[in-house]
Amino acid sequence: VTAPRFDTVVHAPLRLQVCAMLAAVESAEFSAVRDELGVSDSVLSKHVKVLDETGYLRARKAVVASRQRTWLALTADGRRALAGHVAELQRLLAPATEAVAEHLPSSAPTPPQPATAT
Amino acid sequence: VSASEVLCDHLPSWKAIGKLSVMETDAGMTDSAARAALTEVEAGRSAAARRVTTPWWFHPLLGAALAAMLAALSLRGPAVAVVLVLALAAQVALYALYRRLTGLWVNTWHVEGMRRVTAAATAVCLLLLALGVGLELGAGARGAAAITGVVLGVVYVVYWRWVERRLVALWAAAP
Repeated sequence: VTAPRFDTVVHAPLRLQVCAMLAAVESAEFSAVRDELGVSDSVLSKHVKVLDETGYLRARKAVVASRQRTWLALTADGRRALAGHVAELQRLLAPATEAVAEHLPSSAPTPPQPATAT
Repeated sequence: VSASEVLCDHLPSWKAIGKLSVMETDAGMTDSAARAALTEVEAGRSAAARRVTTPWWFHPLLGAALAAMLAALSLRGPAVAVVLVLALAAQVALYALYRRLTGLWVNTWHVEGMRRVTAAATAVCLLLLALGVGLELGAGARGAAAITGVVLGVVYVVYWRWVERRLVALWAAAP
């Protein structure tokens, strides 16, 4: 179980997406991350650099068929930071969710169903 | 000179410190901001889910290469070495193609909730390999390696089809 911990480096919206994508896999190619998240090379590079400098991400360059490709992978520290950050976000939301659940009647009436055309 | 004085010299220090604390910690994070952040996490996982599925022919081809490698033992003469080398080369090429097609590298052993099935599938494959080699070369049962090779290929394809479906379901789920 990961302890909830707010992480300012991970919290930036695009970095959260990059970290979540990389946490799911062992590694991902730079262009795959760029295309799926719909950002430019320069924007992604900037965020990758921040994560790299923090020690949350490792970038490895490989030449395949005379083309240089960059593979990105989250480090163990990066995985821990993301897990802690997600746990913290869930912890922040938990009171609100519980409060809503408390105010809901135990047997809510079924909403009227729309009439279907025959 | 404190950070609050530099950044917010037009505000009284108690306001500036309040602003910085909201920006830099979770103290001022609202429910909607936390929910929005979790949506970003979901978006990242969904991005991985969108790429992980290979074309329908990919795993059957890899399964066939795996089957051919074991089935080669049922052949005789120089054909054994030729089929073995070709099957091995096909596997290396297909793994490289996997990286090109998906842009991802997945280790199912590290994916939560998949370790048990991965261990079971690996054990079955190793057992089939040992059985095929043992029966063909040890007991002299001609064709045993070819039969176990085909079963091995089918197990491999079924396992990877399950892996892809499971990964998509896992990553599409909320964090």
